[in-house]
Amino acid sequence: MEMEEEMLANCRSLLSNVILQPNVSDIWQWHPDLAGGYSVRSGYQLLTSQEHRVLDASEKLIWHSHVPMKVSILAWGLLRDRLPTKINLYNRGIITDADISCVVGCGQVETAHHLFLFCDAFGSLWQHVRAWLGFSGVDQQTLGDHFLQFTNYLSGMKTRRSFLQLICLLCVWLIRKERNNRIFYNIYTPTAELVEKVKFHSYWWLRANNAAFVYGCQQWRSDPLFCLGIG
Amino acid sequence: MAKIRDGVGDKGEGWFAEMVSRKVGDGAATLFWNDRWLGDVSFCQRFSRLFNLVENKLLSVASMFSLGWVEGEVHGNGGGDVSEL
Repeated sequence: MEMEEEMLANCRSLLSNVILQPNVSDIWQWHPDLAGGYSVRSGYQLLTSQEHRVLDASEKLIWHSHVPMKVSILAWGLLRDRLPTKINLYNRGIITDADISCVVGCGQVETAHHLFLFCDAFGSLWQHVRAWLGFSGVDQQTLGDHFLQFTNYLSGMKTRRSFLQLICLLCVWLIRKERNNRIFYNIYTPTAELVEKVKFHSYWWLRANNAAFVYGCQQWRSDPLFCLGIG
Repeated sequence: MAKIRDGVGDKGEGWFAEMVSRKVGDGAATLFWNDRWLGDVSFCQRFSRLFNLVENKLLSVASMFSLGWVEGEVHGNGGGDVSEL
């Protein structure tokens, strides 16, 4: 076969100039800095000098000054589908296909998409939270679109968007937590209670970061938009 | 982990591997086929069809040199194997 013969000839000619040096150890070479070798600094420079990846619009919704870092990091992993959902664990050979169905028993495979949007037990949280805030809508097909749509429900005003972004991140956090409680502790929280958690957590998060936030918890629960002055 | 190291997967995970290679001295601690030590890619990628024929895929550069580079290895399998592919 000519293919192999040709390859062999190429390989042979490539090797014809190679001279090994006895008693000299083989070493690693770091191309950006051959003399200095690898350093974190040169790795950092390499990565930061490259063209920036264009951010999806939804990725701009990950970080929020009133939202705890751990929550944002969860959302980050979610939008990139890097959470250890059952399907992801299966794809990496950690669990078998006998164990990839959603914990609720709905018969669906536990993907991030199913868990956070479409599962009756978890995804229905969105519907209830929308009802609390006084608007209606349908969930989008992708999580990124969902983030964007949810955040823009109350038209484009900045305070509103910021508030809905906080709620969106909070819901993601609570869904993950509820999923873990069911799987690992066999603890089950009805959706109505999860909605209450959304109300309380959002109240705490906003209050903790805003000295001018004077409303009581009851008032917040019954009319959050009024409390924020965006009703 | 292995996938990330090998640069398999999506979106530029190979950036580190692209920037490192072996500088060969006596060739004892460099894998002939798998390490990138001569040219822009490893021998197993560049000469993939030869690599498929080789029985011992983990020989060092030094060992391959003492075997007369690829002659002994690839020819050792016999022309028959080559043409049967």
